[in-house]
Amino acid sequence: MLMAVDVAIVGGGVIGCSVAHYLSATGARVAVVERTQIGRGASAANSGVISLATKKPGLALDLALVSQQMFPTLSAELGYDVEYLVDGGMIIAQSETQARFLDELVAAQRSDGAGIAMIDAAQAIALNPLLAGRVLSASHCPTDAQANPFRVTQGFARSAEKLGAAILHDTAVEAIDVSGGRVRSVHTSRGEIRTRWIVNAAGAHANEVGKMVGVEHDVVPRRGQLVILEATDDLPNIRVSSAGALLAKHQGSTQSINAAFAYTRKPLSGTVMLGGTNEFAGFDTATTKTGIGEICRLAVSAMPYLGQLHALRSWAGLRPYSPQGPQLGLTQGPAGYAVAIGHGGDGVALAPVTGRYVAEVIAADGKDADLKQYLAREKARLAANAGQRGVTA
Amino acid sequence: MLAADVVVIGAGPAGLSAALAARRSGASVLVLDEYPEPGGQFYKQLSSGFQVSARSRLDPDYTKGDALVGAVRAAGVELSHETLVWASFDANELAIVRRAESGTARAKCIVVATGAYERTIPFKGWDIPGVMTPGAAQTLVKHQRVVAGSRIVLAGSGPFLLPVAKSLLGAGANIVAIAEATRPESWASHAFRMWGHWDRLREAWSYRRAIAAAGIGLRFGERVVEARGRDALERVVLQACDAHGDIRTDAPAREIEADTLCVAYGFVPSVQVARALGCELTYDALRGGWIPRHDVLMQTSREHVFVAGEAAGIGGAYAAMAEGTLAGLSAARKLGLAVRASELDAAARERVHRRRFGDLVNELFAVKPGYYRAIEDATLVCRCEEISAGTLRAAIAAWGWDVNCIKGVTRCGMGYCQGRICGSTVEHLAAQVAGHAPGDRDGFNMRPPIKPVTVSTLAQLDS
Ligand SMILES: Cc1cc2nc3c(=O)[nH]c(=O)nc-3n(C[C@H](O)[C@H](O)[C@H](O)COP(=O)(O)OP(=O)(O)OC[C@H]3O[C@@H](n4cnc5c(N)ncnc54)[C@H](O)[C@@H]3O)c2cc1C
Repeated sequence: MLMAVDVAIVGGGVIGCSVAHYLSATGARVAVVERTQIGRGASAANSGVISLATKKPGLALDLALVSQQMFPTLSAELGYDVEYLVDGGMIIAQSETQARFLDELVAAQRSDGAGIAMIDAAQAIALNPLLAGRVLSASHCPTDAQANPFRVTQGFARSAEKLGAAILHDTAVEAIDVSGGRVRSVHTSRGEIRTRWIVNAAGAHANEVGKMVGVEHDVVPRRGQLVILEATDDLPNIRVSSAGALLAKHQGSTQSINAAFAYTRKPLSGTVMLGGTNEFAGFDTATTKTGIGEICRLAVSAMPYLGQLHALRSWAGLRPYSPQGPQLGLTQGPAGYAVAIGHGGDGVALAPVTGRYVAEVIAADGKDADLKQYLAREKARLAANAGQRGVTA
Repeated sequence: MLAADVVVIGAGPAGLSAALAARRSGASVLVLDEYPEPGGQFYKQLSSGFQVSARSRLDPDYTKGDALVGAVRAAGVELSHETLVWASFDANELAIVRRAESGTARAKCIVVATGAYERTIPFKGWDIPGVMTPGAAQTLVKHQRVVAGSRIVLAGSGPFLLPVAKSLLGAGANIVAIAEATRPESWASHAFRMWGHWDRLREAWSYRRAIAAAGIGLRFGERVVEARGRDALERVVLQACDAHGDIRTDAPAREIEADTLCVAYGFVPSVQVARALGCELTYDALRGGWIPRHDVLMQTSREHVFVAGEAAGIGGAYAAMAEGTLAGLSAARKLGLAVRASELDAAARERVHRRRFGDLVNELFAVKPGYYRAIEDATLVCRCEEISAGTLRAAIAAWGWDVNCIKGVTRCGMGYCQGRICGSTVEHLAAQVAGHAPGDRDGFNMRPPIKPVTVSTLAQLDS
């Protein structure tokens, strides 16, 4: 036997590491079991955007609202700078359909308590003067932010380790023992780990781990390609993405590569990240000619200035996509089996709330676990705090 | 769209030899090279390592090189210059950019002959204007007839320093010192291995003679520890080092007034194109680091991809030509063309002979761990993102040896050069801090484009 713990977390991405951090803080003995290296999956391949404006009203937006409030103090909490920066974000409508979609979306988001507003084309261009293509209107969320995803993941992992967690890399979970209706241990490539709880945080590989306890999950890899441009001075920091991207994301469209325009400036390095695609291509993480070509075409048409900049690199990552969105805590399967899966394109933004919620569920030994109630409670608390500080969204 | 039976990437001695051999065996051949035309481009190509090295080696017999270019053209090989291979999205297709136009080159077989670049190892002041690589200084002379400065110091390690000295002297340069980090004592014991390599020895001797005739002090076992100067280089500080490359702090430092310092420690194979083609890499410390795994006929892990010259491991221009010929013949054979066994044998024998000498030279000038240990914490390793050795060492101590993780948390290697300059240094630092050998772990990931390409060019990519 390799070791005995209270909780074995399968997957060392941003989600697994966040769960490990919050669980370790409750005093639980935790092991993170990672097949490759910590933070090498989707968590190393994303844009690091922490956005409310891109979230679907309901569960995703509520999670984002709670999670976003945790970011400003995260560096202090982890003792490590996660490079959290608030520069705001805009979603532009480039067609009538998109404009109608945005109007409805923003109305619903506002009624859920998000500080997002519609602005007209002139206001949008004033906020980001690189915009020169067709813009009908835009939604604007001044609190949209970003963080360095490598640092968020590593920060959670190292903090968990300091709090006593074992972080095992190059260790694959191969099987899970269940008896008497309860998980007992995980079999890894380096030996057996006895445990009372297992958290499936295997990202795009969640189904594989689910099968080990006889559960069918519906998580599929959804490839996203990105293109990074050379560093330049004095470009606007506010993020701009096209409503087209959201339409694809919210509707889970399976058509083509679903390329859509997204401009994310990285103020610390001066680079620009261009997104992105939303493709179902299995576990293939290659970039494609079509993907890079589409991303660059969309960028040149929305922001012609970008055409002269050099692309330095491109890559693709696999979003852990589920048509139901994120699934956290107890869902199905034997006692002691918890999940933190299906984060799709929002895993970094939702990592803090995911970790905290799953840790609470396990610390309470699975009693009274109800995500909706938890979120309602947290939102009420946030509103009360905001009220106390005299802040209104 | 371009197409040929055999597409060769790189128009140095290896690539041209491969092109000629494949063409003479009956294949249609296209050579792609990112540097400009025409005619004497063989000798004119700019700094990036291997071509420079090769050119200097061929310097004494310029006409021989000219003859190779002439023969390649006469044989009907198509040469496409200013053509950058920036990615490969399909086993038989290369994504190219030619004069800001995006396109593709299709091939049944591919020969990767992408050469090498100079190994720069950071030291205090290496980012001051006036500090450059020997290859850069030689390019200025050869290409623009410009001597880099009025007081030049050549330092670092490797056989390349001598031909650079000779070309600089030929252009009237004032070289005030040459410091070679290794020591010749160890060479004597290898004398028997030099037997038979008379052409190479004669060439080396001619360099030594030129340097002696110019009355330049050539010191062994000495390294640059610092470059000083406010806005530009003013002085170079040199100090003795031991057999591990560590500075002998008991030895006095020597300060030399200079406005130009040319320093590099040999070459690093340029393997980005091979990686983009999906070739498996293996680490060969003696031959410069990561190289595509290949067999005795130069075939890589991808059946239709062959490798030759410095890209297959540092070995000098003669090994490159021998390997080019072999790779060209192998590619032709793979296409099903008739290749005489005797021809293939002769090429394989010539390759072994030339590699033997190349390996001997590599051994004599092997990269020493002390070169990397000596990098002070305050010294920048990644100039693009301004990341110091201290930041890297701390990150490695905290996060482990995985250089891709170190890249993520520090941004080292994410800048304009995409880690080409700092990659090898980061691997060595990670190995030293984590206590394993360089090459035990993967290097930086390869993420296209291989070299920067503008967004508007990429926007032309057809779907
Ligand atoms: C192009 C792109 C852009 C994105 N942009 C954003 C953004 O701006 N903002 C945002 O919030 N999110 C974004 N995302 C989404 C975000 O990256 C993911 O939601 C998040 O990283 C998921 O984290 P994870 O820990 O679930 O998965 P991963 O990071 O993939 O981690 C899962 C880990 O589980 C391990 N594993 C799997 N099976 C096993 C096993 N059997 N044994 C051991 N280990 C195993 C894997 O090796 C892997 O390391 C983006 C994603 C992509 C691809």
